[in-house]
Amino acid sequence: MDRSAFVRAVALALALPALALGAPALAQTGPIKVGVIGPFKLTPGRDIQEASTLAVEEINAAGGVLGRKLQLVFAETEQSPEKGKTAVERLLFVDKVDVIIGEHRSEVSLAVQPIIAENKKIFLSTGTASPLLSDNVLKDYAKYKYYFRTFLNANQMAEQMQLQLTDMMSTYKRERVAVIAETAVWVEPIVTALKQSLGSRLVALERVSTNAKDLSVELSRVQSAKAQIVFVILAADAGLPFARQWADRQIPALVTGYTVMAQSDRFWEQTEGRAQAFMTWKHGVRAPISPKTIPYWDRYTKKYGHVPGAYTNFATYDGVYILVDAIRRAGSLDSDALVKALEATDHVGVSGRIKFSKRHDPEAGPEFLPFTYIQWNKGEMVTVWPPKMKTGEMQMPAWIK
Amino acid sequence: MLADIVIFGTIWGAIYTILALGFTLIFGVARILNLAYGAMYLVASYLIYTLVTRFGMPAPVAWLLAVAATALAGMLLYRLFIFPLRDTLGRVLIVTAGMAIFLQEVAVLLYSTEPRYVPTLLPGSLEFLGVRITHQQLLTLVVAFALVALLHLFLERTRYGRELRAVAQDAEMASLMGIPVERTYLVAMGLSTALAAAAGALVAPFLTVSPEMGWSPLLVAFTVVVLGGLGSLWGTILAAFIVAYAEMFTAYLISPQLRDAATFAIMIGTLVFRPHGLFGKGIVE
Amino acid sequence: MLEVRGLAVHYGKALALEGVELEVPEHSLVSVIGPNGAGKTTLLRAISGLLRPSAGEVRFRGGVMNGIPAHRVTRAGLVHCPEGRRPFPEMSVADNLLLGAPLWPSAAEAQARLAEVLALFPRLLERQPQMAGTLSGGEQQMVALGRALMCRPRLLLLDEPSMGLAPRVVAEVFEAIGKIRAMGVTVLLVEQNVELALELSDAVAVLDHGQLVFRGTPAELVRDARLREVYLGVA
Ligand SMILES: Nc1ncnc2c1ncn2[C@@H]1O[C@H](COP(=O)(O)OP(=O)(O)OP(=O)(O)O)[C@@H](O)[C@H]1O
Ligand SMILES: [Mg+2]
Repeated sequence: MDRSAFVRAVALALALPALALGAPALAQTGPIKVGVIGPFKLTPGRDIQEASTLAVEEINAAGGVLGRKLQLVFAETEQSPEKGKTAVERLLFVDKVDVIIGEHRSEVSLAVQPIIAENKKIFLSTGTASPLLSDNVLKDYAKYKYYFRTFLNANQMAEQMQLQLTDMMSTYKRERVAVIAETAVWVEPIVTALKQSLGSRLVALERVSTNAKDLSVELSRVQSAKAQIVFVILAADAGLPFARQWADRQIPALVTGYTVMAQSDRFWEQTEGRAQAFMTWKHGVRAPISPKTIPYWDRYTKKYGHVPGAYTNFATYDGVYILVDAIRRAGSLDSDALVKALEATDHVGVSGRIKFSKRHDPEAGPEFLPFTYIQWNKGEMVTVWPPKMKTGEMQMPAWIK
Repeated sequence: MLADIVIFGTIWGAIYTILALGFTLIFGVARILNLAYGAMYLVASYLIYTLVTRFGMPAPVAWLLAVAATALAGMLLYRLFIFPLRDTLGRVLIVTAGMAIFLQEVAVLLYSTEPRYVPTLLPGSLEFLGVRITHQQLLTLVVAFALVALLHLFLERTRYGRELRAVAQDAEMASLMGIPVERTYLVAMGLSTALAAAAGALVAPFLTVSPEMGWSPLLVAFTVVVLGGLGSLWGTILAAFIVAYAEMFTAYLISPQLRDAATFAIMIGTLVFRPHGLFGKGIVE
Repeated sequence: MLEVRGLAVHYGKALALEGVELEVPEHSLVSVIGPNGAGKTTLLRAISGLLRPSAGEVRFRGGVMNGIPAHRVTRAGLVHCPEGRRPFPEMSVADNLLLGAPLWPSAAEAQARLAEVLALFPRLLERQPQMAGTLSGGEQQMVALGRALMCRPRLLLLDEPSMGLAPRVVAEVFEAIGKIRAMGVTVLLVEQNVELALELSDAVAVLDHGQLVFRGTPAELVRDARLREVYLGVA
């Protein structure tokens, strides 16, 4: 081997690591990578996937942000904290995403929040309700300031739910309330609040597991406790048999609260019409919440052939826009700059007006994120509460006078 | 409340009878402990769902078709996977457990984990002892009893029923009587899966269809067989109703979440204190 | 009717039968005798397809039977009534008997045979609804014989039908075997009760340690002083 060849070989060997180090710098001009986590096979996850896709398509069509396009990287969590951790680690270390959004299960968000925080990446959760997540921001701001949420936490939800329940009890002269609530992290604050405020008017309290398949026993108990209203907090599959049996067995109690299955556009067909007069809170309805709401609803429905299903839909769509807005204002993807920009957010989106509080949760209330209830009526979801936003009248089940 | 326990306990008792009869049939005749039994219940439920909601078939036709197709699928699984390993109980356990998990995963892939529903055959309801019972539940009760009666007649009064019993009692002796033992095993497998499928078809309309739905019926079938012993129709019926009422008592008086736990407790209790079941001829030898 | 040629059976590596040659002519009654563990049961099981021989051939009415599953052997008319009676205990006597009924070309013929069986064992008549497991030993043997007759045998293999029975019942059983023969059924009989067996037999074979040590008529056997001493126990 002659000298010049040797020198060239050494030069090449030295250059290789330099090139490799240079690669991230080169990537700066590629797309901005947004990691999206969620259980995509279930309706809440499907909505995270579809709403983020639609938002990104619109933003990219309008030229992207800072001259770069957005690219979504999806990672399935299957509602499992363990799977969630693996998914997030893959996003951070393999896909090298710039920010992470999504997830609907509090247990999963709680498991991945520290990992994302330690790697100083923004985690914008678009569907989990546990207050513990934003408690962390208050308690350890330095570590958890990267966490934001475009959806109400369970304490905020509890307040709003009580407002509706109280209104329902006084309007329809109902005194006796039964609560059927899932055993899950995000449910606890709501149950505690209901117990306190209802006192002796709470005639039955049933806790069910998240994988319950059948609530017929709970229905019997509701009936024998002579409850006039069943307040349901149920993300589980059992929402479906529950509604079917509620109608078949003509349980003499109005249904309100929160049933995830009842927010799906397929619920009417799934219950073969037994959902008539079944009511649930639903985040994201076709009502004039903001000027953007109805056009988005229709655009979405046209694109996907079905209406927005879960609450994660509006929260994710608005979340992507809030993120892009913050990146634009920050002028970079630096996480600390992004935190500052996000904290200054005042965004009117499809779900209402979003401003973050000190805990990085959105402000609640009619002028910010309104809390809307739908009722199934002849195959349609009709917004019946709050009165300011209703698109139809509240109906009574046929077997209740 | 007591009326609820009695009425719903009776309905579940009838369903459990069918479930357990199918399970004990294949164990009794061919000594196959089929852990994929619950998966057959799953297959039937998804078949009905698919036939009705995707192909728009009338529900009763879909029911019959699904039960028949599941029975055939059960026979196929037997021939392909169980038959070559039949002589070792351990291997049969492993291969059938594998089949159960496989079928569950296939259901996840094809239908996702989202629950599906099966339409009711008979809408409407009536009130009895202050409890509202749907016509579907009554239909379930009637069909379940009819199936038990039919199975009884088949076993006691027909040539094939007699041959099935002979093989169950002494397979070698049965072969000396000119009975094709292998074919009898296949028939037993078909009948057994048909019963699992029928139970699935009866329950699906008032619950939901989801990929992990096969495990709880397997637990129930196993417990009923442990408690009621092998080969006795009346033992099985009695045990099925004991399990069903125990579940309902636990659910109503303690907590619905403890329903499976009650069944499990019965199973463990029987294995520890009465390993040969209520009537002395148990699954444990 | 039955020809056994060079038959050998192994249990694992252990040799249980070797070079067995045996003929059973139609309408005859042939007995196989020999001490415990000689391989008599093994021989019958190999003939009826319950065991796979390691060498040799079994021919029945001209066709080769080895390698054919037991139920097909039975359907060919070679019916094995095994050692130890083995009734289906939780089936009624009637059901035990009826198991063979489908082997007949018509229901009427099966019915006729059932009548013959009940005439042969009148005791079973009133026992028909009773579970076979609750019968006495003698009655169970009658069920076993009757059940085998219901399988439309041309050749019947009987393995120690008198085992464990009281002398009076043994006599009854042997009387029945005589009648079965008179019905036109050929019989290959394995017995420990040599005296009674020889009385009925046209030919006799002695099996010891898996090998045939004698084939001939009962008279020839009785004449052979050495065999008489060893196998008949008389000096
Ligand atoms: N399944 C088996 N496995 C191993 N060896 C066996 C088996 N069955 C029989 N044997 C052996 O084969 C030999 C012949 O047994 P077999 O039962 O044929 O004798 P037998 O003449 O019928 O005796 P007995 O008069 O006691 O009924 C014996 O040594 C026995 O131990
Ligand atoms: Mg023997």
